Amino acid sequence: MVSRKKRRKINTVLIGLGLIVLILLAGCGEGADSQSALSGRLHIAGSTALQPLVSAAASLFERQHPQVHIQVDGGGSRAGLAAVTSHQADIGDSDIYADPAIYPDPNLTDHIVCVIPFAMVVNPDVTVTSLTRQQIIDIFSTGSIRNWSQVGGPDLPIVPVVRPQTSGTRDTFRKYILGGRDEKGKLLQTDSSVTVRETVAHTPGAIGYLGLSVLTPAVRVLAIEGARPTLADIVAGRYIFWSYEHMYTLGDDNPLLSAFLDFMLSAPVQQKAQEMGYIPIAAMNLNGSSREGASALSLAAVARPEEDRAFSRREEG
Amino acid sequence: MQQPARRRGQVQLPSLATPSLPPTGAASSNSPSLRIRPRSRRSGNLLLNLSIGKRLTLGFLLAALIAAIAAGLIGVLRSQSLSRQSSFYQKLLSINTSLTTGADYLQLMNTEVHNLLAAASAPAPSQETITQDRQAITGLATRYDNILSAYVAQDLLDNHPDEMALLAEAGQSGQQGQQQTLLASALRTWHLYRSAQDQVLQDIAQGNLSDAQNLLRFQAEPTNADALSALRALIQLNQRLAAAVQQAAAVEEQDQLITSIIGAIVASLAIVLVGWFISGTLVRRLRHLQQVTRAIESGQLEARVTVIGRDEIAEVSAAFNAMLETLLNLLEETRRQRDALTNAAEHLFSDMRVVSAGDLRINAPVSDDPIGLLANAFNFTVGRFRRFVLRVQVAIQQLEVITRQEQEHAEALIQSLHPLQAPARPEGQMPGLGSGTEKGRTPSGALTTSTAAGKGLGERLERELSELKGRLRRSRERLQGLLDATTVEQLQRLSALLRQIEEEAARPSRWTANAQGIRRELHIPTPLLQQLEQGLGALQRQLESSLKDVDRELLAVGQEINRLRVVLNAAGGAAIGGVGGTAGGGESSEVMRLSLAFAGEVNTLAQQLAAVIQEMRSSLVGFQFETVEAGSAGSEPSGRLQAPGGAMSGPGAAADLLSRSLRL
Repeated sequence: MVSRKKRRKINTVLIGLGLIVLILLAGCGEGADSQSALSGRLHIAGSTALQPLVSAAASLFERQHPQVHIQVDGGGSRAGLAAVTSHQADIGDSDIYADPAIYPDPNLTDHIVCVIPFAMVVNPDVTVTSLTRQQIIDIFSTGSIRNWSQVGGPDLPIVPVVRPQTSGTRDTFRKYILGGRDEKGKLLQTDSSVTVRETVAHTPGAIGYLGLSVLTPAVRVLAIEGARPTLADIVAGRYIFWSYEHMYTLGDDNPLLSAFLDFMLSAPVQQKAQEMGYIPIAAMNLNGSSREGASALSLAAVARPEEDRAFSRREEG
Repeated sequence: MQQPARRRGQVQLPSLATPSLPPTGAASSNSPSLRIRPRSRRSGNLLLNLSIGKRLTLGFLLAALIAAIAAGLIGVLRSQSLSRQSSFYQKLLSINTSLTTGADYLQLMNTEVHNLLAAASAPAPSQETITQDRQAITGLATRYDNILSAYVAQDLLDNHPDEMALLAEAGQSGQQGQQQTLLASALRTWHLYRSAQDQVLQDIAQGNLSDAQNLLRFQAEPTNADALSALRALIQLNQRLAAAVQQAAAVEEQDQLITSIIGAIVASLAIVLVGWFISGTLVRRLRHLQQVTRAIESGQLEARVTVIGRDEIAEVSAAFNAMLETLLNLLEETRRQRDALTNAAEHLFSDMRVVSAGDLRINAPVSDDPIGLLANAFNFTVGRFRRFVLRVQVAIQQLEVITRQEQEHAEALIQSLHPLQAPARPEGQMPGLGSGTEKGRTPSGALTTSTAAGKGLGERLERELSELKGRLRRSRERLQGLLDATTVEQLQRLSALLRQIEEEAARPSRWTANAQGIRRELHIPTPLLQQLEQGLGALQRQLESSLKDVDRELLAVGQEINRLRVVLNAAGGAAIGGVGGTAGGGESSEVMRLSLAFAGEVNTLAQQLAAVIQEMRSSLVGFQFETVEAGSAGSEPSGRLQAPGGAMSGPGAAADLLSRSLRL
């Protein structure tokens, strides 16, 4: 009887030891998972089109991590790329791709955080609602359309507002709308979407382009080829005047950096992006951007030379 | 019969060397059947139906199985994760190779377009070179398109859940969205560049060299750079994926370590449980067996082992129970035999007491045990003795008859002398003669010849005769008592017989193994028998002394009679002288003759009486002395009288003694 009791005691002791070991192991596993609080500074510079979103995200991030201080500057996409490659900034915001020939650093890493739709805007006086790509080319590049009456609008001379060369928006405009052609028009001295907006708003007959993030009712948005800069049209590939917003870094081994980049992709920031006129990156559908986008682009590319030819023939004629 | 036996048995119990049985145990052991598996309960535990060896084998196999399963599971997990990682790495490597090749293609395309433009803008353009370049550019474009299409078709993380799981382990599930985004951007830039390139090629083919030049410079080259940049981002994503896999591997390794430790602990716990279970089936029941053994050792004979299952322990337990039953039955049997023997011995003893009280009609019950044999011998002896006593009684009756005849004769003489005495009164001679005749027997022996003295002599003679008769009667009574008391002698023989049988019983050669228990039982009545023997000895001594008394009495009577005869002879002589002296007539001669006849008869009477008495005495006394003489003549010369029982040491002596007593 006594020995049986003793044996039972030994058994309970064994089981208890096993449980303790298990608990210790579980505690070790959880301890390995727990992360240290983030702290430090981040300097972000670049695209003015992305700047509102980055500023909002930075303040959100700082609220979540009080130890972190984030400084957000503008300056344009190329300035941002130059800053990040010269280690002056941790993150370079950009509307454009970093040309491997200009920025050959292999550590330069592209992080696409969202999509910014661009819009052709006109002074509210202009009643025209839609333009074709060819009409835009004729307005900005060839100069064959100089009065709004030529495209069914009021008799107003067209004043194209052109952005300086550091503008990423201008690059996109040249590549996707103008097909590489040069611009002619009122050249602005500062690369700022807001300046474009103000200029267009206050110049009668003015036409310009800007990111939807700075769009206000002071200017009117034109449709391109009948498609408007909405999420549906962009995702379906009908509206091609948009660009990825890149955040370039030199490697992302810094935990704060990768945490912030992840934060940019997180739901609150993406939600915020949608509210501010961006398109969340998750909404961008791979198929839409590949097949239909390709057809849209090729259609434009194919259609243009014929008209060109027609134009040239007409000019010759 | 049953009641005294039980009572005696209970009284006898403390003297027995066996442990006392509680009544419940005795009652339960009354059932003769063996309960081999009486309480086989709980067959639910199937393990108990296996033999111990099989059970141990099963336990070891189970333990080995558990260990093997634990080790195998851990190994399988590890190898699975390793193969997952390695396949992921392999795939990343191949993707990287194809994407790098794609980047080369992009650059080559750019170069080729430049070459084409240069060739076309040469003063004498070689159509062959232009065609070759165009074909090369188209081929490169197709290949690059194929690379991207293959990437879209095969390498999307979305289509590979295991890779997604691996990334999720590393906490890098966001990479999947990045992959799609970067791929979309690569596709978009590629399509833009391709349209620009197609436009350039078309311009060259149509001879619009300046347009082509412009387009190449302001559209194709930047878009090529964009496409290259987007592709580079995709390649960098690959590297990040590799890093993520490594991270995941580290996480998994930690998980596996924990899994291994938990698995080892669980396996060892399971093995311990198995061992506990198996040993539980053995140890608990062995302990139960031990408890039962101890209980029986401490006297709880009703304790039994509970038989569970069908293994060796169950068999041993059943055999143990059966052994207990058998032992209890044997014990009970022995007890019954002992009680029966005690009972028979007691009965025989009471019979002996009855016989010693003088009742010879007793007939002891005979059975086939040793006590029964003893009883048989006892019956035989008592029968013999009874016949002897009858014979003695007959002899005494004869003696009585003879005595009565003598009395009658004497009375007749007296009556015949009476009328003679009455007429001779005046003469005064006759009574003198009669009294003289009588007076001759008186011990005083005063011889007078006067008739008056003769008459007084006759009276005295008669008185002395009656006195002698009374004395004889007394001695006869005494003898009768003695005859009854001579039982003692037979009892002495009987005790001798008892002792002999006891010694026989003590001899191991005679009582062999089948009656060992009985031999032990025979010790038991010994004190009783010894007691009996002592009593018998005392009685015998007492009887011996009384026999001697009677002997002495008889001797005295014999001497008296002899004296009487002498007196009578003297009186006869005197009477003859008196008759002659007084010159009596015919009447006095008649008296003389009668007196002579009387004297002769009395003489013969005395002689017969003396002979009978002598015979009785000699027989009785010889009987007693014969015993002693037989004992002394048997083996030892002296000292046998003091130990009458011990003298009879062998069956031969007993038989001799028996035959001697039977001869009487």
